[in-house]
Amino acid sequence: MAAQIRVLRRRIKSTQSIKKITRAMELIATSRIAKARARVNEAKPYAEQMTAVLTELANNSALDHPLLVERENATRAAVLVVTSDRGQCGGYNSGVLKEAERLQSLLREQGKEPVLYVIGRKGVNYYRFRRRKVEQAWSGFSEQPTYADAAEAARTLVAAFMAGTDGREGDGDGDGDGTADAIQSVDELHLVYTQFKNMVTQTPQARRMAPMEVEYTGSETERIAEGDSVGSTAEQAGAPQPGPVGLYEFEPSADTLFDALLPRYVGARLFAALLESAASESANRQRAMKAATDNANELIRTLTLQSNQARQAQITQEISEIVGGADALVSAGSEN
Amino acid sequence: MAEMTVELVAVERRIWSGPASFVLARTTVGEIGVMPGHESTLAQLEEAGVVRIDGTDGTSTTLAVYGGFLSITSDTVTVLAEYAERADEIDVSRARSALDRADASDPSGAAAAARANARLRAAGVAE
Repeated sequence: MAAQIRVLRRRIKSTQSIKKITRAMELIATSRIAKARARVNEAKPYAEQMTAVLTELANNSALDHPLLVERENATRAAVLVVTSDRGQCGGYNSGVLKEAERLQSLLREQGKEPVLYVIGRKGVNYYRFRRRKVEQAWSGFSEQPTYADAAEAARTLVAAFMAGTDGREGDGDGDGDGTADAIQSVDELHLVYTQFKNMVTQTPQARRMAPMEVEYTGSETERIAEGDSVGSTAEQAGAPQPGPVGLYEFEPSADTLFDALLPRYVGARLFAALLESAASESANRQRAMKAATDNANELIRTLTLQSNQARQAQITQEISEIVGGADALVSAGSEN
Repeated sequence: MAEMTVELVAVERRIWSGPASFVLARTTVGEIGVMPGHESTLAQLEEAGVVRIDGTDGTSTTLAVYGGFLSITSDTVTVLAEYAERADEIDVSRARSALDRADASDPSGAAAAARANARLRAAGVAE
């Protein structure tokens, strides 16, 4: 009887300390979401300006950059999976990984061999446990990514992608594999991350990064107005210049600028994806930890009830034992 | 005085925005000074360089800018940068030690040295 109470009290105590931990994690996650969302917003002006500049350039360059051109008979496709470094975030990682599996089987159906790149310790462990080959992995920044992290991953991916073009041009119509580069070349870049829609909805998503479709802005009227006041024409020859747009000077040439800008555009988009993933991770963790705290509360309530019942039962038993003992003594005395 | 709207945005945040009368930067081709009414231009800035913005309120801001692009229209100037630091945020001693540490023989070391140099120049203490 006493043993039962002791066990119950011990469980209450440990549940209480678990609750303290989950509650703290919930609070931290809550503050992280706000920060992560602020960072998503802070990164927006760059993305907008970048898109505007690219739109301007697209009107003035040949648009034959390898990052824009679809490759025929693509054989290898890079898949970058963005997961978290830590667990305790509900279905966040399993959602992303499931989406990644779906994308990979889709690529295999199309006859492309998926090549894995992973961000986040959880994803690395997942693939290592299944003995799947991971081309390269980065971790340690899933909750607070910086642009340097994104830029490094983007550089690796773009290098692998560009290696594919060099190989193909190098040996004519032969297979790109013949060159056997130090860098494993790929023909497509895909990204799997978690989109942060709002506090309650975050969806894992697969996106193609390259060959890419730049999202051009379409504010033609503004530019015409600007063009009138400037009154000069761009010097670009050869490139088609539709209508009155393209009144820009380029330093250096538009094509060179385009070459320099596109890899950065990939980096900026990857950075935006990392930020959204970080916000999603925190939102998922906050939800998971809130549920855990609620469950702990519920458990403590039930256990306290049980331990009180056991205590009362023990007291009742003790009383009846004493009374029974006293009765026995009294009756024994009367017999004498 | 004529003015133009200047914005300097880095990938992680907007660093500077407001009305200005003059912007000085160095592109891969050469130095460029921009005043209101400039011809529309897109330019790539040198990998690690210094940008000076003179605001209409008489203040002058100097920034170290890495991997930047410059987009100019007659009344706006936008600098897109991978990273940027204001002169008053720059840690001079750290930039100095980074410059000493950087090994100019390999490409990444040379880039690091160029960055450290740009930071020192922006802070106004370069030799």
